Amino acid sequence: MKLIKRTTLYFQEGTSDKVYEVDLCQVDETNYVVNFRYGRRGANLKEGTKTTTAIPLAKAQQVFDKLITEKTDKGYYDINIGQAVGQASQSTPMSTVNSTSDPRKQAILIRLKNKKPSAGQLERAIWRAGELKITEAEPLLIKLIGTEEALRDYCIAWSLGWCGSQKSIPYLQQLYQNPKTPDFVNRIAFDALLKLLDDQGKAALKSEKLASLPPDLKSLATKASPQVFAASLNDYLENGNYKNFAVLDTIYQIDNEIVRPALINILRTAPFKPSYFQRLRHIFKMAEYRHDAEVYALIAYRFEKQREMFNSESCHVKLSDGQYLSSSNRKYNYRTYKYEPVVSEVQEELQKPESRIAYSSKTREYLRFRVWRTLEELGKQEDAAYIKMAVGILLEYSDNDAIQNAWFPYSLYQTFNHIIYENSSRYACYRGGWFCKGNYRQDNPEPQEREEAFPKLWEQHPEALIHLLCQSKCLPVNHFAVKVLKACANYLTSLDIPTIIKLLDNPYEVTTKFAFEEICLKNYNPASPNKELLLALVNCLYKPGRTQAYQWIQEKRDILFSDTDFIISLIISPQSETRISIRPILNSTIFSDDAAKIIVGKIISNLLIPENQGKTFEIIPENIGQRIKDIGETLFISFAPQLRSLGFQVINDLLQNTRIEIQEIGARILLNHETKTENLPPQVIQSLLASPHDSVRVIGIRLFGQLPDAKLVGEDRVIIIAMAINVVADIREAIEPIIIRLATKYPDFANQIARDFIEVLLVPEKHEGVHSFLVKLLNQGLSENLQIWKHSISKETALRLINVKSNPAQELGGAVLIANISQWQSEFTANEIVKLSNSQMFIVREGARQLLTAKLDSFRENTNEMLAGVRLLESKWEDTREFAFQLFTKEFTPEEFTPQILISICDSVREEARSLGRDLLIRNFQAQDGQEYLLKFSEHPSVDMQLFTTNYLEKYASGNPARLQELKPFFVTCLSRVNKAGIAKKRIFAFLESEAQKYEESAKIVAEIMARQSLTMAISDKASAIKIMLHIHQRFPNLVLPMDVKEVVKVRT
Amino acid sequence: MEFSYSYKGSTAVNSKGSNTQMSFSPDTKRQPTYFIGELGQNVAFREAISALHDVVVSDLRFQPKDKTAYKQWRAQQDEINWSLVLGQRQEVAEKIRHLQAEISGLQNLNNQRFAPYNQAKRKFFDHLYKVEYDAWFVFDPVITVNPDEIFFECFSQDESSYGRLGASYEVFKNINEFACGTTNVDYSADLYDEFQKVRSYKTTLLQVDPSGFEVQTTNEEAYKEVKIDLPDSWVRGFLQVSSAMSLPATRLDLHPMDIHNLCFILRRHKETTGPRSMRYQLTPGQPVKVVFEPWGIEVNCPRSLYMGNCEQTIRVWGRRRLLTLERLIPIAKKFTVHLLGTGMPSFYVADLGDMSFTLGLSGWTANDWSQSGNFDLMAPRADVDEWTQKQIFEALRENWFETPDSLAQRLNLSQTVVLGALSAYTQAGRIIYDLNKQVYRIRELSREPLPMERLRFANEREENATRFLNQNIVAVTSVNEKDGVMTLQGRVTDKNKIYTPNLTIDKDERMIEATCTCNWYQQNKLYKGPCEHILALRMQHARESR
Repeated sequence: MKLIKRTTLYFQEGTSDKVYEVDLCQVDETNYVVNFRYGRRGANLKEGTKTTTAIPLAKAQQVFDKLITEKTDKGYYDINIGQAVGQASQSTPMSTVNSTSDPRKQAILIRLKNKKPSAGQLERAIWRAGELKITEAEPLLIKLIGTEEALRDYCIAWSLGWCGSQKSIPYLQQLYQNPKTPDFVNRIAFDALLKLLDDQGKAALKSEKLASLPPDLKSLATKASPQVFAASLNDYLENGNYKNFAVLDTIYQIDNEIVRPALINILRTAPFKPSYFQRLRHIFKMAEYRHDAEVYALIAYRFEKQREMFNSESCHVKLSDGQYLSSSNRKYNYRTYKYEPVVSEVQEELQKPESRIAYSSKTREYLRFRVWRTLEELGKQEDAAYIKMAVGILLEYSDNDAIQNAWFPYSLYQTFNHIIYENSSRYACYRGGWFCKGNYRQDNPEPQEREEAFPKLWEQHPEALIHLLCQSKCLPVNHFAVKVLKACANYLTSLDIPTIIKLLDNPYEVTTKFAFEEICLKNYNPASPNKELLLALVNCLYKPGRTQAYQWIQEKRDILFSDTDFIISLIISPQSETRISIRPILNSTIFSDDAAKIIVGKIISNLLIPENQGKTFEIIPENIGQRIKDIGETLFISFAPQLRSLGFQVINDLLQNTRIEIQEIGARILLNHETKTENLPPQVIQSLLASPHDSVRVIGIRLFGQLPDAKLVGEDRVIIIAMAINVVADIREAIEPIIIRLATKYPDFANQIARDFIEVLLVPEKHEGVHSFLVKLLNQGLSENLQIWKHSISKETALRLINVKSNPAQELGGAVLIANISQWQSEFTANEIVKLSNSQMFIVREGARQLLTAKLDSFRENTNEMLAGVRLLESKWEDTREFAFQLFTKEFTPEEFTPQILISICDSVREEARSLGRDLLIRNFQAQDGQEYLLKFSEHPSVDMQLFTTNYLEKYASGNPARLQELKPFFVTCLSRVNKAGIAKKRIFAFLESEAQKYEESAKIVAEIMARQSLTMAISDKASAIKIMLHIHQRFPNLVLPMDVKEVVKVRT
Repeated sequence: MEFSYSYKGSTAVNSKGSNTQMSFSPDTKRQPTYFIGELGQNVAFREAISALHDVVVSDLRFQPKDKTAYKQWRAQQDEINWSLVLGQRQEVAEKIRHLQAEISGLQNLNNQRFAPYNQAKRKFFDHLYKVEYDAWFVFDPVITVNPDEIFFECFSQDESSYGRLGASYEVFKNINEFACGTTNVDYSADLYDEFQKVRSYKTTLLQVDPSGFEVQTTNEEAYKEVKIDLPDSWVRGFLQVSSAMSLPATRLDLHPMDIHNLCFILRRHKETTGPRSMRYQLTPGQPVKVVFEPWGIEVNCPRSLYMGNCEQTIRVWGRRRLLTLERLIPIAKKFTVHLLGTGMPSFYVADLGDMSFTLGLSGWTANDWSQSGNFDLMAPRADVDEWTQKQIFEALRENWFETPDSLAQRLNLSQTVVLGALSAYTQAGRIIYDLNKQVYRIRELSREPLPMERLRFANEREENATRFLNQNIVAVTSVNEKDGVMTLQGRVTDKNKIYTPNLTIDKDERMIEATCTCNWYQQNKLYKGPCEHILALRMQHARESR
């Protein structure tokens, strides 16, 4: 069968990518067949035929054309056209827009005059008068005092404190001294008096309070140190009962420099629990009244952080002793059989002076909201106290308060968010919680517009913002302050240098950026650079700032570098970038030897100061190691000559230091020291090699490498090998350059050491990574200019390497193989090459392929070698198979494809190899071999080859009973296929039918086959078998057949 | 149960154009067994050994389809559908569609970007599958060399099919030397591929490599140590099937084309519902008739007459395993079928002239508890004292193979004693009954004797069930059959306590429902298999209906 014409069609649509191949083949002079193949491109194609029996050329051509038009109509095409579909998506930016009067005083005054309206409204009016500081209300308020309503008195006292004058003092004093006045009114009256009285009056009032302190504390409160007072106060509180806690109120009322620290300490740590809490609440209210930002902010902050002691909503409260208090306010009465309202146990408990519970969830909520309400009122009145209090509150927060898994890190804090995000476009307060607005998410960029409450107020107080920036350890606060300050350009020009330096030292980049861009850049005077400012700038967080500073330093180098301390500060800068960036500037500067020595000396003495005493490294302790390394590096780059002549005493001190980095510096100094290595005391190298630190040992190895070559190549080779196969990777790497250097110089050493390494590679790896290191060294390190060692390896050693389990060793074996291809090509047989081409290492397979390519000519001549080479087609590896396919399709001529080779390819178990075999066969078909193909393929077990074989039946088996007998197993096998091989069956039936008519001998053979096959259940097969038997019966009636032919009786009705 | 082998190198194939040398690597830890011979009947041997390979790799256990991806998609789709339904207004639907388009675009993009990764991953796993392909086989085949023939045995991965290829020495042209015995050989997929290339025009040398035994253990690396941990159930299955061979069975001969027709039905049809059995309808003197359920397709075997004495119907399951025989159809002269009974193992012996291929099938493809109850296959058949047993074994060992008759004559023992001893050894895997030549042969399955006590029962409940049967304390109280589903009720009186098990068996004789009043059932239901009372009831019923 010979290929006449082949058309390959493609089809691509969506995910489908198909091929359809149509062949027109010549069977003999006059007969042709049309076969086709189809399937996914690149996969094994399915075979089929359009012609069950061979047909003349004209007809075959027709079938061929028809099939092609049929396929092209379906969308197949001859040349493939690529299609590309591109998509673009758009997103629309989202934006949201936010939006927000003195008849009031009049109304309040009218209400105060007219005291008739309901009580609640009157109190409200009194309070408002204070809030709005309506001085006109003072006489009206004074008239209202003394109505026996404690709450009203409280409000009046409160209000008078704000809007009153000297006139109110006697009334307040009367209220304060009246023993009938309740405690809470008494306290507010005291504070109101403090507001209104002059200094003398205040002092008198306070000393009166002082006198009321318990005797133990009284003397301490004026004379002792704050610590002593704090201790005895704690002692007093711990050892007394709840009544003792009242002293806290008194202390805040006294509020002098001795008692205040103790009080603040208590406020910061006291549990929000009974005995403490009540007093804390009193102090909170007083602080609010006094606008005492420190105390107020502290307590406000604690309200935010401290969870409530009990939940007001819950039906009971558990006490610390395990007892439960019911909060139910209804109780079942067994007499009336009804639930009756009662005061709940919780309420009852709260009323008691020695109550065991306090700070309920409702209390907490109320107090948290009160903080912002107070601030808001202040803000609305444009009171500077707002700024004071807000600053106090903001300073309480730090980055530690950020909470993960919340809407945004600070979303839980009420007042904090109100202050800095009140007008924000991204965060909003809803029902007491803070959420992200719209599409904004935590990691989106920050909006540019300002977000704080009362922006104008802030602008009026830029110094408060500077204070915030210098003090705050909270990122959002820094962002907020920077934004506001940007709007106060005039103020910024007046800042002094220490403040700017403070801003530059800030740990937040946003602040340092602001300080650099808005202050330094605008105010810097290049003519007279300020060293402190420059140092602050090079150490700051903001990179462009630092870069600018380097430039400024570079420009004014002559002036600045006259100061060695300035240089040292730069070299040992805590900022790693500065430590590195300073090197080129130093390098381009020429120092006098003395100056350089001073610098080196100072730096080294700095290094040698024990950590706990030196002030050099206190800033970022976790980076000391890196810092010392950088400093060492700078020394080696810029002051190498000075280090070369450094005294041994100093080096020894460095080596003795406890820090590895410093030891390393010492070792490296030795490495480049003017004293030659061999003149060093031998114990120095030994102690370095024995160091517990790998990095120091590595330098020791390098020192070792500086020993005279003769010694290294000779007696020390064993040590070198031991280092090269050491457990520690660093040591292996350190010895690598020494080996490379020696190997380059002494080829014999290279050969010797390569052989030693190969011995190591041949045994299983002891430590992980050794093999791959050795292979890398041999392959890359030694091979650059030293290919010789590879040529000194024998073929056997190479094969041993390839057969070893370790992958790197196999790889090296492959490399050796490739290096020696020209030398070894004659030594390898095809079988060996096939074995190599199945190796799991790519490089070995590559070597095998190169070997084969090199000896292709000798391969061509030897049929046996080629036969062995056929196995390449069956390799497990795609690359080898691809190579083999290329080889067999491109390299050989029809003469070289002997039938034996083609049959061997077709015998493959791989489907694609078989189809290649068939393809090669029909291309290189020689008519005289047809017989052989027919007989040999007839034994093939696979369906595709059996179908292929049927093509040869007509030409090479017809009219030959002996051949028919030989092919009998083939016929039986094909016909016995279950539900398969339809076309082959059809062809065989057709062939046998015609054969049976020729000779009786043939008919006998056919009859035997048919007798067996006629038993099948497949209807068409059964029919064919019976038909053939019938024809045999008609032609040769003597033959015995397992059937009884009956006369057909025609019955007509 | 752990088996460990030590092979000297791997089984190797050297093919040089016109000749192929296959050298099997035997287990060096066992007694030296070797064989060298050149193949005479190449193609037939190729087909037969390929069929054996099919048995080794066959695993017809039901593998549930992985539907997680579909279920995920379904859930997603449901959500989308609901959102469409709920979105009354056109507007909403429009919006959803728009978003869906966007999502699918993104998903496409995602798929595209992940494609190289996924492809590489797939490729890597494929590579692993190929490189480690041999690890998928459970048990290397066993080769036994006997004075008259050499045979290969194997048992499938799904613990249900047994294959045995016996090749008498006529198959080989030149037999050099051999030593009788049994050994495991290193077997690999490459070897199967090489078998496919066996042709009559190539000489093929088959050798169980004797050199493996000669090498001293100097270089450890050269040995391939293989440790296989076989599940007990696998070994039990193997022994059950091989001991079933020696049981009396209904025999019938089939023409090769009859097997062709059976395979034809199976290839053309696919069953989706049960029952999935094949019903042999046997009438003395009449052609064998096979009915395929549930379609009711009848296959008549006009050239195969049933020569037995009584009319009977035998149902067998796991019929897809018969497809293993496909390759043997053209080369077989006839097939002899041995049926032990409904739900019992069956054997198909293909007569290939000088070779014979035996396919042994357990009652069902799945060897799990829902069909359990076959452990009386492993029950001792006659009480023979140990000394006599040993004597009989040693006598058989002299000749390697012998019929029980001649053995009885030679030893002057009664035939029952001989048969009892032989069946005990068969159950222990040390002797095998050759269905083709009707002789017992020595074949030591493992180097060490198998722990019979552990293997006889899968668990103590099975053991208890047999005890109940032996004590005769099991009674079937009612049998109801409706639409082919049978409900059994029974009573077990154990130690003055009465248990009333209850069980339902479907058309495929699978236990689909069962209850019992015992504590085990109350605690475990059927999660750990049925309790001893349910098992005993089932066996009692099987006994009564036999």
